[in-house]
Amino acid sequence: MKPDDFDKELHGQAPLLGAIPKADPFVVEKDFFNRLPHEVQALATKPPKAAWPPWLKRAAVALPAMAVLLFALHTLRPATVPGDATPQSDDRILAVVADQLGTEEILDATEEADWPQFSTVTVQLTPEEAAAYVDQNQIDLNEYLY
Amino acid sequence: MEEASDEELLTLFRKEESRHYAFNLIVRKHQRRLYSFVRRMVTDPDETKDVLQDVFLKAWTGLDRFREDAQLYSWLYRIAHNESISHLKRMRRGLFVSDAKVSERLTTTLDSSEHFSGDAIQKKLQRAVMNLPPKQRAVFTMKYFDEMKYEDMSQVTGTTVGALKSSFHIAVKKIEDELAKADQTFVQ
Repeated sequence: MKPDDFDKELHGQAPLLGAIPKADPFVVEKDFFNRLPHEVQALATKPPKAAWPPWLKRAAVALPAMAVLLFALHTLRPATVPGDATPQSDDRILAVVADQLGTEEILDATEEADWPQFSTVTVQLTPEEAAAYVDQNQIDLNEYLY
Repeated sequence: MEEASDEELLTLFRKEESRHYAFNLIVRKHQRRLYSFVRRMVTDPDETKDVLQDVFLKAWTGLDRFREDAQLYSWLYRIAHNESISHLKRMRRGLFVSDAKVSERLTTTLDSSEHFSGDAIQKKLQRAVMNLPPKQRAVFTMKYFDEMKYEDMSQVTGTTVGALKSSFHIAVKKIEDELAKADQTFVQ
C-alpha cells in the first residue's frame, strides 16, 4: 500500500487520528547523538567482569541453602519423649519405663506369674557376727521383742 | 562525506584493524531512527538511552553472526523491538504493577517541557499510544510513525502480515476512541 493510500484509508477509518500532523515532539538532549557512539564503544570494549566458574556459582547457592536446611532441621526437631524413643534394646525400654513409673506401679501392672523367681538364700551368722550386724545397723532389738 | 552502505560497513567490521571504526559508523548511521522508535515505546529519555545502549551492545556481540541475506537495519530494528518489549516487561516485574501503571509512570515525561515539545493534541496522541499494550504499541509505531511495510514489520516482529494488519487496525480503533473521549472531556 502506498503512503497516500494509507493516509486516505486512515482518514476514513480514524478521522481524529488522521487530522493530527505527524511530528516528532520528543526533545533529545544536546549532543546526544554525538556522545552515544562513543559511550557504546566504551561499554562494548570494556573488559568483561571475571565470571565465576559454574561450580562456584552452584556452590554459592547450594551451601547457604544447605546450612539453612540443616539449621531448620536441628531447630524444629521435636524434643525426645519416651513414647517416641526409638527402642534400641530391651534394657533401654525398661530404663525409660522405670524412670516414668514407680516400681510398685510396674509390679501392679504385671501378673504375679511373670515376676522373676528368686532362689531362697539361708544366711547363717555366728553370735558375734549377729551382734556386730545389729550394732552396725543400729537395730533396736526391743521392736522385735515386744 | 557520502554515507557508507551497510555492506561496506560490514566488510570493514569483519577486518580486525577497522572493527571499532566500522561499528562507530554503524551506530552513527542507524541511531536516530532506532532512537525514535525506542523513545516512542518507553517515552522517558533516560530509559530510552539505557535501551538503546543495550541494543547496540547486543549488535556488537552479534554482528559476527549476522547473515547478510537480511538487511542490517531490519536486524537492528528487530533487536530494538525486542529490547523495548523486554525492558517494559522488566519494569512491570520490578515495580510489581500492570502494563497500564508502567505506562502511566512513563508518561509523566510528557508533562515536562524539557523532554516534550509537542502541543496538546500531540500529547493526547502520545498518551493514547502509551495506553496500548507494548506489542500493539510497537506495531502502531512501526506502521503509523515509521511507515514501514507490513512485510518488513513481519521480519522485525516475527509475526504474520495478517496478524500485524489486524493488530494495527485494533490499535487505530483504540486510539481513535481515546482521542474522542479526550475531546468530549475537553468540551465538557
